[in-house]
Amino acid sequence: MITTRNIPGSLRLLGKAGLLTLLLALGLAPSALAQYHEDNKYGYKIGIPRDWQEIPLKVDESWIIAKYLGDRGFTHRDPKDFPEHKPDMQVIAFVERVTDGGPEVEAEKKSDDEIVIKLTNPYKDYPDYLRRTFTEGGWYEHGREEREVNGVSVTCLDIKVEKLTTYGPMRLITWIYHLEGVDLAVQFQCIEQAYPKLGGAILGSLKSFREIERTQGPIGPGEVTGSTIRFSNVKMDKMTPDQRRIQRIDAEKALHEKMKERLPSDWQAIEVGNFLLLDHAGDRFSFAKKILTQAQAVMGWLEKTFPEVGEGEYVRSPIIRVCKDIDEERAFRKGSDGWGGMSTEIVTHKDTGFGGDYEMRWVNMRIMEIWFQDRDRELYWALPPWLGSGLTQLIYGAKARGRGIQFPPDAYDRVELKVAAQKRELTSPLELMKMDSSAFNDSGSINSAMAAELVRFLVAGPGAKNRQTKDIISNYMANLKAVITEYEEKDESKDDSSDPMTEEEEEEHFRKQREKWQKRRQEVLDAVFEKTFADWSEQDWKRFEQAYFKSVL
Amino acid sequence: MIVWSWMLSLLALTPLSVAEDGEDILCLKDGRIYEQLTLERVDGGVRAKFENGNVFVPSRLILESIVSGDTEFSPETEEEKEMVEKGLVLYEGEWMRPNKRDRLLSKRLEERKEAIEAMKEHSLWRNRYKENTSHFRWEYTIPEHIFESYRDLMEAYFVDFAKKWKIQTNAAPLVVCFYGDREAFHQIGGVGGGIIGYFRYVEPWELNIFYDRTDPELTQGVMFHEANHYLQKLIDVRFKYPHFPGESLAEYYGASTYDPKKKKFESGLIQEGRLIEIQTDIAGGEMMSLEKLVSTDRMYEHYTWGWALAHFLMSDRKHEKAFTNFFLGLAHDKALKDRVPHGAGLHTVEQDKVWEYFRAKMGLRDDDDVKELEEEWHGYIQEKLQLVSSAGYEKAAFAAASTYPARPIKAKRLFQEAIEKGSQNPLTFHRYAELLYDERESLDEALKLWDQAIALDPLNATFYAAKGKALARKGMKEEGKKLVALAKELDPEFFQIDLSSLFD
Repeated sequence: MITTRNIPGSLRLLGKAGLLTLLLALGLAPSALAQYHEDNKYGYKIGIPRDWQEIPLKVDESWIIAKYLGDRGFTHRDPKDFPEHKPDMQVIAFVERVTDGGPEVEAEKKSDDEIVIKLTNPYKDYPDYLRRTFTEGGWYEHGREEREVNGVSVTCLDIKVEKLTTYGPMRLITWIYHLEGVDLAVQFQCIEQAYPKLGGAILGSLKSFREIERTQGPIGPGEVTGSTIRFSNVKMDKMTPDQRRIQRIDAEKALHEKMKERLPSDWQAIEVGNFLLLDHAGDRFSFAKKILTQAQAVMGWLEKTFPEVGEGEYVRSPIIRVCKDIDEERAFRKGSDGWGGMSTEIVTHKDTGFGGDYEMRWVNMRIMEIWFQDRDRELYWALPPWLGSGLTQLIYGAKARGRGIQFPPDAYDRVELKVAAQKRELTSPLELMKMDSSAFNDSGSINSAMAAELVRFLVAGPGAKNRQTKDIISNYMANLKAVITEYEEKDESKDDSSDPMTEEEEEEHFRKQREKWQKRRQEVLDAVFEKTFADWSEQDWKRFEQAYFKSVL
Repeated sequence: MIVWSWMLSLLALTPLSVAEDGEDILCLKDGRIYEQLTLERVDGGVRAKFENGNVFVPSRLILESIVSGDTEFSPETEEEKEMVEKGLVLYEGEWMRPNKRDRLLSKRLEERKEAIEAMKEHSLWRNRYKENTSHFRWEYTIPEHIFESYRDLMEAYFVDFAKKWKIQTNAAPLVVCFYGDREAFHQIGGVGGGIIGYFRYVEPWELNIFYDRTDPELTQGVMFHEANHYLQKLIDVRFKYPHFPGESLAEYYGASTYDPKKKKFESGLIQEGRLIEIQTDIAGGEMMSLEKLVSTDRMYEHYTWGWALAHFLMSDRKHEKAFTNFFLGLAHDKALKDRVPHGAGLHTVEQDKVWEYFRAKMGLRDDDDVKELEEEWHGYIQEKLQLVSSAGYEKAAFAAASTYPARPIKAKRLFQEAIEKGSQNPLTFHRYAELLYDERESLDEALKLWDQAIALDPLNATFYAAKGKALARKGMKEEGKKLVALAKELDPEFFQIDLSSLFD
């Protein structure tokens, strides 16, 4: 069990002078530490600087065993201000039995069509960990010293972060405590200019480290398993939706339990419908509820608008983690697994700027990704640029209203379209729908604005009310699914011509393959287009374009 | 065994000989240092002893070696025999008593060890070397003797470019951070992935590059390329050159050379790696249009087709003048009104406007003119730009082997040509062998190639592991297993993955 405790109340009995004497005897600055972090699994306790707050650990975190965030930010000035940075502390465990193991490849044949290959490549030590995980600037060891702290041998590192930093020059003060079977690296990070102010508290904390009894049995692999990359040819697609549902529900349940278990005591967890909310905004779920309402509205709209996409598939319950502020969110994301996080977890924070819009938009996007990922990720990946880009932007700007959802137009897109119209540079919807990603991206941002407005026109504008156009997107998706399935079947059944025997044949084969792949996307686009608009006349297109341009210009 | 991947700057001294067994030290000229070895001096080099085999390292690769137990002197001439009978030993050309020799030897050994320790210390960024030259402020961790050649190249480069492009500057010398290897560059330089050098174009300006011992040409090319962004900046410090022509001209200057004896700097050589990429595009049926190249922002092809365009234009006197005016005019031409803010107080020209300006300065009045120039450029690429060196053939072979779909027949032909042209790159032999390994009937040929790779770089674990695998396929499982075990000894970190199943 890991606990964070305030300095025992009994110390108050010592009186001010007595307390000062005691702290000085311990080598601590008088006001540096106010709480201890105790961990009886790894067997240590350490003082935490006053008012620093505990940060939850990611559920898939394998190396960091504790995190704290400073209570105030510091700004590097040289001569301009850099963004504010809050100091933080991490404890990283390097279990000997894991780090000594080296990379391992395990192949397990589970059935005829399922082989799981697991590559485990654990960090060798703290420098290796830092090399592979630190992304906040170029760093180097500025100093290294061996010493002893309370009977524990320690390697003390002073690391400077100087090049390409977001927050200006920084410093990592890391002491690595060599305990039996494990090295514990306690890392403090702050901007260089804050160190004169924070150094006392940091060193006080590092010097307060003590071994305590381990009461949870031996530590070792299984507890800290290293970064794992899974390559799997498990054909989830070969399962029935019901089989997938069972798998997903089991995984979801285990994940939720672990999430709640790893939550610090001042966080709150609540399950609402399909969602698990983890909240630290400190406003009695006020902001979290707004986020939840928004997320539910987007999820509901997707279910209602695209019922045929992955029909019968179970969508795992999203987990929404609301951090107190952006610093807390950054501190949470930081660590051995980068910014990835769990695939169904949405990490956000209480956004006090711009009415919370940016965070709402981020949540919208993640909900859409999670929904498509479980419903039909192949279809999602195959969306053509006009639909992929348009749908993304539509969802990005969506706002929950009452029991429904609204898709307000984007003012910037509208202006861009008007400017393009004045210059006679607008692309017709027909041309836009036939563009592959290369053509779509070549023309700068105008196609993106066009796509956003086209999709908005079709799902929330006049196009959604017109008999001929209201089902275009759902029909298009159904046709796209049919076409990609058809191509997949063709590819599987096709017996490729024999291997080239001469260099000339090889060059010819190379050229044909390249051309084939280039043509493939366009062929898919054309085929879906033909299926979707087979019965459209020139007059239909003309009417459609007129209505569309009228609504957006 | 401890391996240091940086370089020593020691002179090739007389071999020393007091170290204990397992404490020998081997420093290669390419920068690797091996400690805690057991070495034996043999004809033409040293033999490193490992549990799973011995490795012969020829003298041509060795910068320095400290070998235990090779102090024994075998007299050959009558005079030598006479001196030995008197109880004298020969050391550094002088006959002396053994105890004097031992004292001197200990002293030399200490000096050498101290020098090695000092070099190790300098390989750490906190102890980096610092040196100021006329136009650069160097900070580096590579050995001094290697650094010196790059330092001289850069000074010559600066002078040549400044003269051609009429740069007058009183800018402070540029800081150049030169790291010992790619890993240090990524870690200390603060970049990741495939980045192999960068110029920080906002103040404080800084160039960050690394030394690649396996590919010094790449090191030089990257240094020239990135330094060219700095030199372009000196044309006008408030202007940020657009991706084209900025990257394309940097590539053009990336292929340069300097003869220190004749003090001659030559630019505009063939960027063979880029040429191969273009040839691959052409083979795949993709020709680049002039308009697309010049008008599209941040295209990767600005490094490849853009280089070829710069090369084409700079190779012809008429075009060269127009292109030079175009390039300088982007920053200086008062008639050009399309400059826009780029951030950090800089201005630039957007890529579509670059195309308009390019057309104007190159005299392309209509589409026919554009087409004519484009055809001339395409013809130049296909007729004039050719691979010239074994390194070029190597790059082409590597490229052909790694395209998708791969072109192994072409790759093998190109590897063969690279070898015939005198390639000394062990990776060429290794990769060629791998292609032959895929064809089971060519195993013997593959094994010979791996032997050649090993002869060129005898301490590279990869080659032993690959050869071991091939021997196993040939039925020589025990021999193969031993070579894989030797590979593990040579590079314990990389070869921790258990390959024993290959031999079941």
